[in-house]
Amino acid sequence: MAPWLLLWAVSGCASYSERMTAASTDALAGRYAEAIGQIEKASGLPAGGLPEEMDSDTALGLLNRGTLGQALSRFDASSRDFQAADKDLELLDIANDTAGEVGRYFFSDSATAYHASPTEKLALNGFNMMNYLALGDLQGARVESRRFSVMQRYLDEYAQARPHAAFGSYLAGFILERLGEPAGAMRYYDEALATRDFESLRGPVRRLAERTPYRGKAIEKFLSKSATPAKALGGNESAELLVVISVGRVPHRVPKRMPIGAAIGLVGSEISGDPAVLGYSVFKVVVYPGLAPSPSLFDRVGLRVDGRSARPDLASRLGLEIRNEYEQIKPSIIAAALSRMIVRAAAAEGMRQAGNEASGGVGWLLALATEATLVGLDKPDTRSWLFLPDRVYVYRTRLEPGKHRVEILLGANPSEVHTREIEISKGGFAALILTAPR
Amino acid sequence: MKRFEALILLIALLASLACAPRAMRGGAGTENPGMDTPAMSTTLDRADIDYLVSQNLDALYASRFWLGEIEGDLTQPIFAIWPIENSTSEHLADQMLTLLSSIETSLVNSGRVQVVAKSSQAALAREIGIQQGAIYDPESAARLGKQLGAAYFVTGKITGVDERLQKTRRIQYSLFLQVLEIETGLVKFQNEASRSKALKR
Repeated sequence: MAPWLLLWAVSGCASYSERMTAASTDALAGRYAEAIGQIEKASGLPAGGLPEEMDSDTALGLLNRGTLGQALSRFDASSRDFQAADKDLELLDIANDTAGEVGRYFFSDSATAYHASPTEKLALNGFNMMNYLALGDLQGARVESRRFSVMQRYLDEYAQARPHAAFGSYLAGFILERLGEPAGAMRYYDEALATRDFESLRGPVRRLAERTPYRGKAIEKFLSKSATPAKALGGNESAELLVVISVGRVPHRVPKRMPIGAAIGLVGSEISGDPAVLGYSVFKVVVYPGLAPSPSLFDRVGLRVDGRSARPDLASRLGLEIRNEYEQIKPSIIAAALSRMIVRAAAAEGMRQAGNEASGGVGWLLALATEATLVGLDKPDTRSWLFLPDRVYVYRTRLEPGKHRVEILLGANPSEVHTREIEISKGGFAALILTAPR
Repeated sequence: MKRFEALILLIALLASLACAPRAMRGGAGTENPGMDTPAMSTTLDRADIDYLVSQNLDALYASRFWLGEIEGDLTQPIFAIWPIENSTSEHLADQMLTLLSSIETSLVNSGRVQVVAKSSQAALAREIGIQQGAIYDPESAARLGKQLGAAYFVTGKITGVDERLQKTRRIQYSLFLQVLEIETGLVKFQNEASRSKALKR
């Protein structure tokens, strides 16, 4: 019985990152449609549809499928997936998860419901704004910008470190500007400018400053550095182009190992239980979810509009934001893994004593089987929004109404050129969204 | 042994049948009259729409404007409905269709006014360059109203105050309904009805 149990326990089931390996390989090769098929298989999503029942796997599957849908310019489908994921993640945050919390102490962090990180939560509404902009649906985009603000307010109050997601603020500002709400647009631009100067906002902010008295700290500073007269930047009859380019992938979670002694030294005060019991354990390393860099094929991003070179602004480095968030919670993650080891060692020791009392000599076997079973079930929680792009670039300019040619250059030399022919009407806009999560 | 295997198969079959999803009929006159009662999410459902619309229209029919100017007008003035603006943090495209249809149905059945069919209104709006779902603005409304021969526009806005605490999310919805006289741009009637929805543990 014990060898069978041991084998079963050690083989266990694959971690999230392992289950997504095939999708990851396809996406890296640019085979997004195939990657979507792999995601659907691994996450229990019906092909092209929404799941009847929601859980952590399907919510993550929707996030990942939505990103690849956007990469395929299937903006309608991507928007539907992001909307469903948004609702599901909210329910998972609010739902009672007693069984998951108990399981977390005995088995694994993966036993709990998935809770998106603050950066993921904000990025979700930001990426869905892109879908609505690409579809030319400003009202839908406005709804997403409101959801973005609700989440920002929530994170301001509860998250340890607020993620910047400056690209979301930039896009929300653009949406309000297009809807004729200058004060609201300036508030969002103030948030974006608090993180960095956006060259492409110089003209719009100067123009808006003539229409609204609203000034935030970042806008005051930005305006003091912008000497270009507003009138030279184009009149109201021109057309506007917005380009959003998202490339690379944020770091993903992988199982990592650390000697027990080192882990106790690192997070000793956060452990629940008596670490002394670990002296009975046969396992001397703690396994926890660490961060590993994801492939990023395009280190450079360029742009040409009607043959003229343009420089997009780097709006957000989501990978860096994810890494900062992780470093903040890393001690708690390791402490949780150590606490589970203590629970396992205590359970195994109990079995050893009980076994020895009942029949001398089998105690060690029961202890080994118990601990091995629990170790086998302890899969580090490697769940995350795997295909969330690492960097988001934005660019906007005023153009003469009519047809234009936009070329997006990815990588050195460049390795890929994406050309789009667009037509913009007088006073209108076109949003060109390119997402390449590889 | 064969009887034992057959029994196991039968139990498995019954178990699978018990777990299969079942289609249900609900609402008044069915075996599940209360099926529509529970809230399923924080978005607006049929019960919320019925409540918000009836609160506003009851107030309209009891208003001085309606009793004095509409009921006293034997020519049955023409009403057109301008899309209601969604100012909430929820995507309400489907709910808006229900809401507009409910308003239209109630106005038609009042027997006191004539209502422009949505299809002909949409076609005319396109013709004079008004985008679908465009927010009400007096200039476009005057142009469209003239084309339609309408005297009044019914329009409005749904707002939502959306707040989230650690284990609770609440949205306080308000439907503002207005009747505007197209010729003068005057607001002849305005009312507000509110309803809250929440998700909490």
